[in-house]
Amino acid sequence: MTKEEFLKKLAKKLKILNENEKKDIINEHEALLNEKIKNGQSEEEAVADFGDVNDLAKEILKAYKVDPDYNKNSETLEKTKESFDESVKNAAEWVSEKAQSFFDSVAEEKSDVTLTKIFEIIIKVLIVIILLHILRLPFSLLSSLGAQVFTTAIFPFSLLQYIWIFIIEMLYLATIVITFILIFKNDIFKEKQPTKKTSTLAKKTTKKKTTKKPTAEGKETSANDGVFMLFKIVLILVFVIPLILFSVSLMFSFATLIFLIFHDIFLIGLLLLNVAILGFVFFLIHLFLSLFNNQKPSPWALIPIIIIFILGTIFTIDWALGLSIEKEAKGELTKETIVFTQEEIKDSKYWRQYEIKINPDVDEETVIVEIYFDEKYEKIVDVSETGGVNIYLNSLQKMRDFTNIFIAGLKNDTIYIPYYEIKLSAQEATIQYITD
Amino acid sequence: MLVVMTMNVQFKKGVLEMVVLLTLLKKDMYGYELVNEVSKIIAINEGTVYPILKRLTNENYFESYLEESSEGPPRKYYKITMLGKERAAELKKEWETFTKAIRKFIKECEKND
Repeated sequence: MTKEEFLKKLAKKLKILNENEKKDIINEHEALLNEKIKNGQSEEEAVADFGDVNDLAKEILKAYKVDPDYNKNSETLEKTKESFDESVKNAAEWVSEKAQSFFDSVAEEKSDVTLTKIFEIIIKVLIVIILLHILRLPFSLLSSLGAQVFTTAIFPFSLLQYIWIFIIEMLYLATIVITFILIFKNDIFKEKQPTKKTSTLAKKTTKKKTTKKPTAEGKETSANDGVFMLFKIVLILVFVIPLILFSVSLMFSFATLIFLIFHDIFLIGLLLLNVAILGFVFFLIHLFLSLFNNQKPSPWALIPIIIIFILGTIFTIDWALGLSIEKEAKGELTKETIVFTQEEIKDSKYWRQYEIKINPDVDEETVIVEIYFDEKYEKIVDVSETGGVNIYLNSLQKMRDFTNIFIAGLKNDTIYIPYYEIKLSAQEATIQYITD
Repeated sequence: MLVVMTMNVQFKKGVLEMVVLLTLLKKDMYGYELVNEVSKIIAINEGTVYPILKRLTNENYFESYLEESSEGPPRKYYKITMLGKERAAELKKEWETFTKAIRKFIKECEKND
């Protein structure tokens, strides 16, 4: 540590003392250091004789009967930033010391301060890169989650996924920029001050210091605000936005349950559970936002939520015990049909699209029937020139059918698991062709 | 005077206040001089001496004044006050009774061995 650094650190730790007192202590330490240097000690040695700056500051504050931990609780954020800076500086000093012998012959005029500075910046860059990689995780999660939600939507709305991804990527970009500015603020905006070791300059530097102090302090506080801002942004991205998305999906499920009521299915247990969880999510969101506006949600709100949750659980268990689950498709199969299950159809790209090779020599009408549950959905397909058949089922209609079957099942306390078969009726030659 | 190099840090801190007071009884000194003088007697780092000097000044045992020096900027000298002299005598007495008692105790212990 150089003399300048030592004095600066000490001054920072003694912030609570009044300006004159602080200046007095700093001046005296400067004089002590100068005297030691004059008597042949190196700057580093002279500083090292004082031991740990923190301990020194603590002892001095004790002389004024000030609790040395006065700023521990109120400025934890500043502390963490400080310790981060300090450890970066220590690491940089270590690396620079190791490298010093390497560069000694090359950089005769360069003082170790500039070399330390360079390594400090390099280490900071490394840390920023690691930090941004970690930060990438919630962003990727958000963008893929949102995209997933939008792909299930029908046509015009499914385009929203690209807008969503764009927004998330932009936010990530902004985070990168903010992080860089925050961490390199000191390096970019600080004016280069000459740190020469000659003691004759001491007077001048002290004069400079007094004029520079207010601006330096202003910068510090704004940097702290920036760190706090970043903390808020990360908090919102990692917790609040997913919670809001979750509450939206809960509202959808609530709407579905209301929709079922109109179809004479009243699932009181699930309704209560839904309300309870929704309430809890709102409570959590409120709790997170209270970090910013100091309006804490009252913990009593949890009591009705818990009561509703317990009631809902009881009703749901009661309802679930009386439920039967069916898996079989109830279609009647004729002799001349080949039956495929979904898995057996090769080259099927999507569950809605099948590709079946058909004998190109036989000119005939091939019928492919899809059976699920006790409904029938038929489609006659054309044999294409290459002999391949593509079947696209109308997904909207299928969805409607599914819903109808589901609702019909629920009325009898039955749940059908989506399971269906493909029935292909064709002439002997084609059947032979396919089975070979 | 005895030069104690390897002494328990707690012991050192305990007597440091007395040593600083007694050192300034001899003559007025400036910071560097005092630190040098004290470290001749007790091997201790400057970081420990200065805060004690500051505390004793705050408690009115010392007062400080500036004096021009032939080399460099003016120096801040510390001078012991009447109150400080009383405190030094008090501490010295305490120390002597204390060490006497301890010495006696050690002797008794050695006898029992």
